[in-house]
Amino acid sequence: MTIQTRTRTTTGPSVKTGTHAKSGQERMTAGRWLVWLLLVAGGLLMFFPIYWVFVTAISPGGLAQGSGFSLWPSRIDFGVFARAFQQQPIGVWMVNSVIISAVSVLISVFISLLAGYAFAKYRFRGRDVLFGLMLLTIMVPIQVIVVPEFVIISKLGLVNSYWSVILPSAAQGICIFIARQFLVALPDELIEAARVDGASEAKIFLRIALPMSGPLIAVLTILTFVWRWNDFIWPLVALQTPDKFTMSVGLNSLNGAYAHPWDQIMAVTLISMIPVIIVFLIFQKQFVQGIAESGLK
Amino acid sequence: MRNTVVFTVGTVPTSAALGLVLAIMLNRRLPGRGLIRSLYFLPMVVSGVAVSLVMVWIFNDDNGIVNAFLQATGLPRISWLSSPNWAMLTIIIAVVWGRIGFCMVTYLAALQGINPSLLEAAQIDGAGSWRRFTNIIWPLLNPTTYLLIVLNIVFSLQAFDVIYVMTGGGPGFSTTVLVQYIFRSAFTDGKMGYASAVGVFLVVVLLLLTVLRNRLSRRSKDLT
Repeated sequence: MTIQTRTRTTTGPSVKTGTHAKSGQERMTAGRWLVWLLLVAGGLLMFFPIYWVFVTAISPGGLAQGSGFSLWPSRIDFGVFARAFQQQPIGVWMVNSVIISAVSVLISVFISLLAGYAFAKYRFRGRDVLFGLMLLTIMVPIQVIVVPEFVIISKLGLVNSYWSVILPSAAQGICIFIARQFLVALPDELIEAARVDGASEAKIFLRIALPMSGPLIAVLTILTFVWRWNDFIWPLVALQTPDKFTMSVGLNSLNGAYAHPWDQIMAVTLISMIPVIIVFLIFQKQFVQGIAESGLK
Repeated sequence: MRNTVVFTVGTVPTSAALGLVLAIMLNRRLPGRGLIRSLYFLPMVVSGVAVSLVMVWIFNDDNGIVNAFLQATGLPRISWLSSPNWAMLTIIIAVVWGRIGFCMVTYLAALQGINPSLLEAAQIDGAGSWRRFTNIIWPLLNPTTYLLIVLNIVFSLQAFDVIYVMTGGGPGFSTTVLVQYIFRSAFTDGKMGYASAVGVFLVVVLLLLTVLRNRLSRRSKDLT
């Protein structure tokens, strides 16, 4: 693996070096260059699997390495995406994933804001106990509650429906926690002042808390979207027919006993990664911040 | 259970250590620093299933790039996923790949919180870069390190997607960790009660770790 990256460092980053080297204020000593080269090599190694998905997808036959070792496709064929869409119900999975993620994000952000606001700004009996219990739910791994959760969902008659995936993740302990931590920092004086002026509680929330929660809403939306998009174990259990599968579950079903051509599998993998990668690239700052603050991925 | 320990020991220190090295290397002005950071961080947003499929393909016994590379350099091919001895290593590589970015970002945040005047003072007093690291940076990073290790243990104990897709716990039971075992007992063998019992055990372990984590994060807040 090391040799691959080394050969690629010579070509890869040249685009960036020319313009950026000048803007660095400190002089580039030999040691710095060494560190930089190591970092770039490592970065390319990290990026390699994603590159490989792309290359495998666009080369006919999936660039099988049975005969020899090569890093580039000899022929390029973008038709694979069309074929993948024809042969697998990717369009349906994509729509399912979008619907489930979008509705989950909406409900979850809504609940987190309200609950977080209540935990942050109101005093009521049992608040701290409730908050503690909620924090506890963060720690219980999904695998452990899969069985009872499945029983509940089937009693409700929701198995194999969108709601079976959306509802269990609608109120996330971690999101309420993040919301509360953010909203606690809002100055109490503002709320008091509004109250003195005779504003109703709902109005205070809508007119004062909400407009100041922009960054919070961004972080929550991004995190929830990526989590829901990538969710696997619960949709795997709850969704049972391919027409209801999400992207992750559908992707897994390709990895079954049937021998699917690798170029197609990689094409689907690539398609499934694109939305989260786009979201990540656009909202990188908020994403990293959200993760650093919540200590969760 | 032994697998769970091997998996945890294999993933936790590795990703934390790599994250620290990267964070230190990246914590200075370098050309294209933002881009490099994104490269390391990117795998984190990719779903477990996608990561696994890519890794299955890269480490494919017959047609994978890794084996082709080994052969091209004259080394023997390795059955990465189909031999019980190698499968765990392969999974550890896949998981560490996805987790380095997280450790790096956490360490970077901590490094940027270190007061630069401390380091300058040490430099004036004649401390070399290694001395500065062992005597100032490392002790100051201690709370972060503890936090990361506990968090990573929790992640590792909960790891499911990658193992489920890559090996399904096999070959044999060689990569079956606790969570995998719960899932298998409940949904393949139909032993829901037994699976729940193992689940309760896992929850107890995780709760202990959480208490520890909360203690530590409180302490790290006191320090800053």
